[in-house]
Amino acid sequence: MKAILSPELLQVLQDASNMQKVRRLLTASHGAHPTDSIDVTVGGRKKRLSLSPVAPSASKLASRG
Amino acid sequence: MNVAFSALLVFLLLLPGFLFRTYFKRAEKVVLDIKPFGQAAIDAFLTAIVIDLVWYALTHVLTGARVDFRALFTLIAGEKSAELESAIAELAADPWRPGLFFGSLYAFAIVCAFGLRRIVMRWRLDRRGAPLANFLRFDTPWYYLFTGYDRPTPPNGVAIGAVVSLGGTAYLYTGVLVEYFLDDQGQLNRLVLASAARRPLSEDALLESDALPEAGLGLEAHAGEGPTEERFYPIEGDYFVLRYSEVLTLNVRYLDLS
Repeated sequence: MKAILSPELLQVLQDASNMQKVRRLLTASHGAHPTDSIDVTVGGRKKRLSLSPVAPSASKLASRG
Repeated sequence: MNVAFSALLVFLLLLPGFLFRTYFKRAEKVVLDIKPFGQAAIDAFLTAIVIDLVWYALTHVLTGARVDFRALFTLIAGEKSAELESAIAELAADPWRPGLFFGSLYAFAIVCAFGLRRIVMRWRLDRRGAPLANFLRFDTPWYYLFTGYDRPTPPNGVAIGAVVSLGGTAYLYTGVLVEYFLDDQGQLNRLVLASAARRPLSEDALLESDALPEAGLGLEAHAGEGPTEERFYPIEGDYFVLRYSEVLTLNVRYLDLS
């Protein structure tokens, strides 16, 4: 069976400094001003962790005019 | 001729189909094949015919040996006759040859199953939209969903948003899916999340009238209590286990590292 988490993402989650960022990414994604990506450190290298894009809701479209 | 022997012979001939089915299925943590036995038997029967015939043709090409179909059908029919006596005598005189044929046939079925499964997964022939996906797709819907199998590029992980009702209050849980467990029926049983957090939905007092109040599906927070992430309660612990039976809605978003 293929692993759900890639080894890289697993490494991200095992790093305490990244965990809070990941949590913020997930919780902010449910808010009014969603953050879809954050910078994380994987093995000393900076990487960008992004949530898959979703279709904007009606309210967001309206706010964009 | 004992009826049981005919049945045994038919079983030996059909066994490659069942072996193929067993080894072709992708291994999950629990059994996901919830097909009715009749359908599974038909699949195995048709597969067995193909494998039997292919292996017969291959052995003939490779060794020049032929299957004595007349003796085979006589043994299956089991009607008392001189032909049956002759077939039994032949079998008793050299039991190793048919034994070797059946043994190699089963090995061939298992190799075919592993080989085809490898080809299907290597070339993602079971991906939604692939020409043969309807025939090759496994009965593993949760696997396809949680691995983002149908996406052009596989994700690095999955973010889960789940609404759970506890004591009459709805809570929104979020986290990164680490593992999932299925029950014997192939239904989702438990989700194991990392970096989990939760917040009560009751705090979303001022929802926009046109917003869809579901987890992660256009949910907009306007409670005026600061950023949404501040209203989440981090769940202490390395992993959080969520029982799917308590989940009202489930939102899935994929995570990509670039």
